[in-house]
Amino acid sequence: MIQRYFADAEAAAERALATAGRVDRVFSIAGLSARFSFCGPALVSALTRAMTHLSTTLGDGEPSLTLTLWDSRSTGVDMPPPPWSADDYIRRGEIRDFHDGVHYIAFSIRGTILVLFNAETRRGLFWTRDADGLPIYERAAPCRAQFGWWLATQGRQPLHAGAVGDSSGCVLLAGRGGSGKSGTAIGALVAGLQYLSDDYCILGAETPPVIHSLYTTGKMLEDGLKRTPVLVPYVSNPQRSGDDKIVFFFHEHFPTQIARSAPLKAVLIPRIVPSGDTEISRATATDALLALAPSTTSLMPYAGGEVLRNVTRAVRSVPAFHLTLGPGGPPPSDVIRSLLSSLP
Amino acid sequence: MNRSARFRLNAPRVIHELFEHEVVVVNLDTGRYYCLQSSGVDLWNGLMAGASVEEIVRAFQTAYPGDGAEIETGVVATVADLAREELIAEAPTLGPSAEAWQPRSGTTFERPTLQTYTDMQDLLLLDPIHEVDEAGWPIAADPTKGPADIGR
Repeated sequence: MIQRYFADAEAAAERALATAGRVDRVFSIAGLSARFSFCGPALVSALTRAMTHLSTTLGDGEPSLTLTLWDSRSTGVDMPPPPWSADDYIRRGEIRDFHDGVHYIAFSIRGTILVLFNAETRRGLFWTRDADGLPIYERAAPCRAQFGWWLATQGRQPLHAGAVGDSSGCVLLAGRGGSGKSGTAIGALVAGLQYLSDDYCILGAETPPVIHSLYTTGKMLEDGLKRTPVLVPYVSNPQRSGDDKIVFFFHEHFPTQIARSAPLKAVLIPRIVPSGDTEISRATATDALLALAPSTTSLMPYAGGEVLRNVTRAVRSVPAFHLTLGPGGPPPSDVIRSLLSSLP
Repeated sequence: MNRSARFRLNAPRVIHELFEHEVVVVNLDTGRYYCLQSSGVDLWNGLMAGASVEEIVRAFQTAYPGDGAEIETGVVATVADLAREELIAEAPTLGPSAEAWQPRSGTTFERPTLQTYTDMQDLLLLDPIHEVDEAGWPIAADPTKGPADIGR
């Protein structure tokens, strides 16, 4: 049934391409090429703005990843109706019995987005009902599930972590939502450090480990913007709904501070505290693993043990530190600068 | 508990990573992470080497001075915790040899504790889908809320 549904979905994508015309964009992601073939222009800006810094042209040969993307409203082509039932939608957008180790499929209820990926052909499909209905988090981090499935076939590991650094390398900022990852990463950018991510980046296949940028977006809550008024002109979504965060596309405003990759030098585990100074203290590799692996796994449909193994590879290679974020002491960006200069 | 019982990792649903002073165990079905430290690492290594509960108790009693009954109670309780969390499963009696395994010796036996982390389990909780539209696609109860997502 899985293969049949994939075949039907691919046929729908071909119809959408024929109807709306093809718009190709190519990106270089963690050293690999990914081609986005859009069916018409409707989704192009929404799903590429966050990755503009990775734009490239395709050389000889086939890309490592090929995605075909369309929406029903502008093309008039629907995704075949789901052959599964409402009870089959489970955690992380997964669909029960629609994953066989080769075929991946996941659904996002907000925006009505269905994504498919074949790990053998490294081809995927992205469908949404209406381009205008794409939620801001999809625009800020497009095609995340498909990138995760694809990169897993290439020895790379997406990480739920921020990453900032300087010319010598970068630190990962690890922890679940609300721990201070984004605020620390964005504060570091404003303070002049190089920026790779506020909460999602890629652990490369290199040894020693290298971190690669994927999206140049940054997200924060209203309170964060009040503390960082210099960013007010750069807010991309002044009209927000529900619990949407403020989103920035930083390559448009800080182009010289966007790093595409950097050697990993340390893992920082931020924690916001109500009193005391901002400071670092040594953490164990296990602390770093527990800060990185569970949240990374929870965000990736069908992810499992490979996350633990890949993250373990990284945390064994570099030191880990707790970054206590208090109201006193030096700004976190100074602490990070100092740490980077002290590490070999 | 049967003291002659041997156990194996409850793979593939459970995976583990050994660090110098800690072992991290993950139940992929539940999303729970576990951590064992100090003597717990030795105990885990003993189980993975195929030692029976009885053999592990005896080895600890040889390696550490002090109250042998306390050591036995600690080992048995921890093995019971690991089994209850379904991190280990009983293995055939004729398991692999445990000859290569020896606990580190020390001056004080620290009773092992199984620390549990539910971060991932919490993040995996998802509101059930109640309604679908005419084409069969789910309808969000609250259209401003999506699945657990980056930046949300």
